[in-house]
Amino acid sequence: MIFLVTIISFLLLQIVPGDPVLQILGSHATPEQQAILRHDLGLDQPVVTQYIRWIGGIFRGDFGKSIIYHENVAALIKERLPITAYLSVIALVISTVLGVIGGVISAVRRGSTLDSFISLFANTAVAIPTFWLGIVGIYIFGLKLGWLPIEGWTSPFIDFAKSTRQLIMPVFALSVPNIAIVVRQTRSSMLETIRQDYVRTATSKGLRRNTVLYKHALRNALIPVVTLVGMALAFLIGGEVLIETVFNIPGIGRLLVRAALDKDYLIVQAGVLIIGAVVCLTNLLVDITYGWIDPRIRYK
Amino acid sequence: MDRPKDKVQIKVFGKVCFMVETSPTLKPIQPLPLHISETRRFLRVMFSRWIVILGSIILLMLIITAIFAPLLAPYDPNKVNLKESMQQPSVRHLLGTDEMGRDSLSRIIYGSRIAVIIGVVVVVAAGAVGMFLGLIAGYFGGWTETIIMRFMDALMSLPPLVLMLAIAVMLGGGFTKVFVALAIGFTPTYCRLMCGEVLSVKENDYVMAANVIGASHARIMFRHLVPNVFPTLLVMITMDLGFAILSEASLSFLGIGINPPTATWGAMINGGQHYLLTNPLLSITPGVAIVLVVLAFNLVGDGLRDALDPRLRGRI
Repeated sequence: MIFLVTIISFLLLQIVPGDPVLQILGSHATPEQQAILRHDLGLDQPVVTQYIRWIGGIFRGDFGKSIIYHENVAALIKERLPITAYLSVIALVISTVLGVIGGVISAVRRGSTLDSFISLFANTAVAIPTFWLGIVGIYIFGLKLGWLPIEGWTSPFIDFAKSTRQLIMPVFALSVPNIAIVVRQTRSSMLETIRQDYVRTATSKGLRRNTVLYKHALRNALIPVVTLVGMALAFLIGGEVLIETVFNIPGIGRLLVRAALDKDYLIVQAGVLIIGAVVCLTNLLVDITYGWIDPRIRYK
Repeated sequence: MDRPKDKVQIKVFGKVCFMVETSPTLKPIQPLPLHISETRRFLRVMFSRWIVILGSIILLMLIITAIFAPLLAPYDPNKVNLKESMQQPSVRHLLGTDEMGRDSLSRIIYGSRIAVIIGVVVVVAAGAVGMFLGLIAGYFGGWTETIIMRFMDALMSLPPLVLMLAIAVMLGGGFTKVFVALAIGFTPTYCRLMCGEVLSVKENDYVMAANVIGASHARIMFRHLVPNVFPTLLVMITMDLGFAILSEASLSFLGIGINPPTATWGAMINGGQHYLLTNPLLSITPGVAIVLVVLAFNLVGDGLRDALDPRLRGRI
């Protein structure tokens, strides 16, 4: 899977129309400059050789040199990856916890006002652009009420309180659509599980309602939710690109956007590769967890 | 990924997953009299929930706005008028003006055109290409299937927004490039849907029968296999129309979408965010437009699903 992601990231540079060298240097470059860069990028060799050289470099942690930042792409990414990871993990935990709680409430009290309310929220939340939510947050809580800082990033190891205050809005904006997705999945999977025979058996042998719901039904209902969490991470990283731009947080997402605007193709390529690899690894992890949660899968 | 029999494949922000049920309010369907026609049955089920009616009204308004934009917009959306820049909402400019004195309401009205065009073109292109590839993959199986489906899997393992961003940048930005990038981002789900469906249907007797009486590959594909996915497809298309608009807005917001000065909702939010203190409506109103439109597509998708195929009710 990761191999396929490398191919896609590699192909990205190949689809640049015309000559990437000219795109990077501009049309004023002398032929010598062009030749040097072309050689540096390995573009004077056949595609397969280029791919092998490129992938070989990656194994050695060499993603090439950024044209705009004049720094190694690997170093740029290494600096920013923890920030994005920190944000994502917090948002992921929050959205999973709230999403599962919301989904369970809504399934258990199906048809109630609370259920309709949660469903309405879930429907609306997926339609809200993350970046817009961030901006509205900045306007209300940052500018009008002055409760929270409107942008920036501080390492939690340096100033935890400030860092947390700065994180509240980005994490909120990132989580909202995810909560909605988790709520929908939990609710549907919970409703499905409640209909199962073993739940009926548990009820008829006289177990308390709560024991049935939370010990028998919920544990099984959560299995599809675990799969979703892997996908939610991918979606979160997509949101990260937007949110880091809105809140001016120096993570991978912002690097990617800056590089994209500056036509720094190598960074875009490396960023896509890293993000793809992270998502693949998460999905692998999810599959392993799956076997751990649901013994039936292990025995197959 | 095997497709569980009792579940339906759906897409959550570009990722395929299986859902059992998502419908917000699951009132039992009222049994309908048998003598009413298919169309009337369809319409009755479709519009039985007020929320679907609401969604349809919003979409109708969107289409009317997009078609009659020049008549509805009070000003030229791209006319720079520095004398009237950064105005607060007033009778002359209902939603105020931006830093170049362009009328915000007019720009939102013209933005609806871009939204509709983007949505339709992207989804039609992604649907056509994706279904075609999925059909081929599922029908012929073997190596064809492996290559096509593995490639789609790889595309799907990237966050859609990141993928679209990278493709748009590499292609160089601009109107057509954004279309291509978005379409590639939306293709894999259609491919998977089609491939999965074909795999499950092609062993059926009627397909074999068609083969025996000498129907061509093309005939079997288009007459016997395609109609099977039609209900699911229509629902997916409706919802994707909304998500395509949302994705385009995200790209435009990042400055990678359609070039200025064309009025797009995403770019308007981006432009307005620097003036939040003086004129917050500049950023906030286009966002409201996006939310309403995407929500409406979702609601109508919900309604369509209930009406097209009662078996799918509450499933996709």
